[in-house]
Amino acid sequence: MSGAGSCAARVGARTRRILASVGSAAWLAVQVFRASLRIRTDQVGLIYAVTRMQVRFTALDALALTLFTALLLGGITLLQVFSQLSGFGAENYLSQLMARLVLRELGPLLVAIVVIGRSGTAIAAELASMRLNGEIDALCAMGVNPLQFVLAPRVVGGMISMFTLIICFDAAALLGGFFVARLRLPLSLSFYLNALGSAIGGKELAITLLKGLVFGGTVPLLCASYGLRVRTSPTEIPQAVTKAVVASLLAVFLSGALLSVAIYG
Amino acid sequence: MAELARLEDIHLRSLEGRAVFDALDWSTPFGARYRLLGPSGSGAPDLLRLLAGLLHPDRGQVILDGVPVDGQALSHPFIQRGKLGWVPSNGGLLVNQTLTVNLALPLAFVQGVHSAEAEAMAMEAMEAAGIGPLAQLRPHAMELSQRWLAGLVRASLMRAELWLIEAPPGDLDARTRKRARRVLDQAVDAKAALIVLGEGAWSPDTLQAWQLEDGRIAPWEEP
Repeated sequence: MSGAGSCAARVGARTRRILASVGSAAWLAVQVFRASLRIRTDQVGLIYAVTRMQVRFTALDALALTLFTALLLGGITLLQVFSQLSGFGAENYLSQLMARLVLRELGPLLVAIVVIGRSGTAIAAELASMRLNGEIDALCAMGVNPLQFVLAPRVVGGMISMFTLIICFDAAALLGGFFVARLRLPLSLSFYLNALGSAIGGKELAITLLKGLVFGGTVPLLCASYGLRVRTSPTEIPQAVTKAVVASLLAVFLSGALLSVAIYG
Repeated sequence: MAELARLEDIHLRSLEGRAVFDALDWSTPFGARYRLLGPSGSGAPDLLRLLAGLLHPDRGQVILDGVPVDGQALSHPFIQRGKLGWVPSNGGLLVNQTLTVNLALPLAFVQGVHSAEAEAMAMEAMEAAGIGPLAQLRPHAMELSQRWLAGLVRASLMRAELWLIEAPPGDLDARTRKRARRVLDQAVDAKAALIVLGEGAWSPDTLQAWQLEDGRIAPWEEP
C-alpha cells in the first residue's frame, strides 16, 4: 500500500473506532432507558439505595473539593475581570460578566471535570472489575438486570449529583469569589448582589439544568460503556479508564458548546 | 423424560479462533445429575456458560425450558424467573456488598420478596449452611471456598431448577465439602437438573459423567 493509502487507512480505522465507541455508548443509553421503564415498583427501593450511594460518592464526597475550586476560581476570575473592566471604566458590568462566565460556561465545565476525575474513573474501573470478576455475569444469570441495578442508578445519580454540584459551584464561585476578591478590591456587596440578581435570568437557570442533566448522564454512561468492554485481563482496566476519561472530556466539551450555541445563539 | 435444556447444532470458536464445539447436540432432562469431564481446553466451562446464556454460539441455538435463548439472556423467561442456579468458581458475589445483601438481592430483586424478609431468609440459609458468622463480611474478606459455598446458598434460596456449578477453587476441606453437600441435598429437588464441573462436593457415583473432547460430548466410559 502507498504511503498516502496507508495514512488514509489509519485515519479511516481511527474514525471507525470513534464512531463505534459513540454507537456503543448510544446503544447502551437506549438500553438503560428501556430497562428503566420496566423497573417494577418493588424494585424501586433496591435501586434507590444504589442511587443514594452514587449521589453520596459523586456529590457529597466531592463537595469540599468543588467548593474549594469554585472559591479560588471565582476570586481569581473576579480579580482578572475587574482589572480589565476598570481599564474601560466599566466596573458596573462586573456582576453581569461574572454571572455569564460562571453560570453559562465555567461552572458546568469545571464541575464536569471534577466529576470525570473522581467518579467517572471510579465507574469505569468498578464496572471493568465487576466484568472481569464475573459479577455482571452472575447478576445476568440470576435474573437481576445489570442495566436496572448497576447502570440506571449510576446515570440517575450522576445527573442529580452533577446538577447539585453545579448549583453549589456557581453559588460559591459568585459569592465566595466576591469575598476573596474583596480582600484586594473596594467592592460593595449590595451593589454586586443587586447587579447579580438582574443578570441571572431564565436562560441561565435553563442552561444550568440542561448541562447538569446532559453532563451528568453522559459521563457515567460513557465510563460504564468503556468499563464493560474489558474482556479478559486486568491490564485492560487502566486502558479502559484512560479511554473513558478522554471520551468523557470530549463529550462534555462538545455537548457543552452545542448547548451554549443552541440556547444563546 | 422431558427436556429442561437443549443445545442444538452448536458451533463455537474461542477468542483465538480455535473450534471449541463443532455441531454439538446435547440435552439435559428434568432431574438430570450430570458431571462434565474433559481435558483442559475441551470447553466444559464454555458449555456451562452457553447453557446460562452468558456465551452465545457462533451457530446453533440453546433452548431453555422450551424457549430459545436469543440475544440477551436477561430477556429469557426462565432466567427472568430466577430459576437458573449459576455458581461460578469465585461465587459471583458483588464485592462491594455484604454476604447477606448478596444472598438477599436476587430474592428481593427477581422474586419481589421484601428486603427485610429476604435478608432474614438469607441469614437463615447461611446459618443452616454454617456460614452465618460471615454474614456481615464482604467477599474479599472471605476464603475462596467460602465464596463458592455462598454462591451455592444463593442459588438454593432462589429454588433453582437448573443448577450450573463450576468447580470450586482448589481442594475443598472436609468441613466445606460436607456443608456444600448438605446445601445441595436440601435444595436440589427431584425435578431440578444439576450439571457440575470437576470433583467438588458431590459423590461422583451419584452423577452421570459426560466426556467432552474434540468439540464433541459423549457418555464417559471408564478406561
